[in-house]
Amino acid sequence: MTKGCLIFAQNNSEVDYVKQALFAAKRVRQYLDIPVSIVTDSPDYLKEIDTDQVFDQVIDIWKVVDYRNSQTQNRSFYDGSLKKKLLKWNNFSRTSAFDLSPYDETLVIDSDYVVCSDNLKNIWNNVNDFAIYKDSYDLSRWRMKYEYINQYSVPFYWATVFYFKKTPLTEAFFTLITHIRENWNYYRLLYCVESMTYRNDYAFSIAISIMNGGSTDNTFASSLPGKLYYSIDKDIINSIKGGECQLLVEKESFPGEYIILKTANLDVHLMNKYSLQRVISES
Amino acid sequence: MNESLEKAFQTANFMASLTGQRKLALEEFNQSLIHYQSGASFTITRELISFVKLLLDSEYTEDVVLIDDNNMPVQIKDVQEFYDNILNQYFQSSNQYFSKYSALKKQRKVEDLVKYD
Repeated sequence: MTKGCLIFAQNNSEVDYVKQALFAAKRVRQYLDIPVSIVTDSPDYLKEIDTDQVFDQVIDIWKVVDYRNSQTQNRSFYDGSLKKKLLKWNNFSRTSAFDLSPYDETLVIDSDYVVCSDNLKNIWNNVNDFAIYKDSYDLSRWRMKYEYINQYSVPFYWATVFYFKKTPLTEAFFTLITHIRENWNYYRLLYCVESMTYRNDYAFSIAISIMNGGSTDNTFASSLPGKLYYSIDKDIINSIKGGECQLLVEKESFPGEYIILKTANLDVHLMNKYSLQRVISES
Repeated sequence: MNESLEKAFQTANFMASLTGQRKLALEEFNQSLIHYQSGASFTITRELISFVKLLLDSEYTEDVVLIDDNNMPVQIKDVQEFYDNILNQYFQSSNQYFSKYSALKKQRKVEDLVKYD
């Protein structure tokens, strides 16, 4: 049984996801000691920057899946609580993880998921075919918790990190997610999602609910160990050293004011792409 | 802003960071209590430790089925080994939590709370 990590990276005009993926991949190799492959639309650019050949395989997304006719979408990218920009958001390819992964057992992570521990090192040979985070911890501690995709709908799962084995069951699951993505407007109305923007977390949550026969009693997706720790893009990443991250976390009711915090030995989803880029450039 | 008020705000900021760091130390402790066995995960609780000890005391030492965090039944071949491992991991994690918490208690400045180890 082969095992490895898969990271998706499609750049837009300002966010260098490929560089972030390279940073994330080095950490995965350091802490989890597994090969890492990348799915990207910029393989030539990757060649330029990946001088150490960190990646096991580089999968050129255009050679495998053609999303050029898919609807493009934009979303706001914050850099701290006072600055934001509307940029293109290429997040459609995640649904192809099953087809694109070169491994029998795959850990998929976002390019902005900073691995700081060996917590995920023991997920292999799992008794379950699919595992994902449901429980999460917002470093601010005051912001809204993601428990359901909205108050009338299904439990929320984070597509930031997930594990799957290639089995007929997970193949059906990914087929379902692709179907949800292709018919997003229908499913978002059906599941009362206000935003028109396609988000993988929502699509995964809806698909898990369908796999469970619409029941909240989850038997399909098991929980990854522990919680998903995250900081949103309204927070600022100060620095990352080894397994520690220093962050400025947005204060409640005081936009533009922050509380300084440091995480240690916790894998963290750091959503401020601008900030992460600065930290990577300085490292 | 007068000096004492400024100091009060500084103290409030320190307390906010201190509370955040304490919560994170607890999260780190909780995360380190996850024990992996045969592709399953078990959160080491005092209840789990006591239950496994009870199994051993009742001479259930081999091929015992335990229910993991995802409610999956997992067969534990060597119960004594499992017990030793979880107990050892529990003590290691709680000692680390204790030293981290004690270090936080001594700090008086924000920059000391978040300085790199």
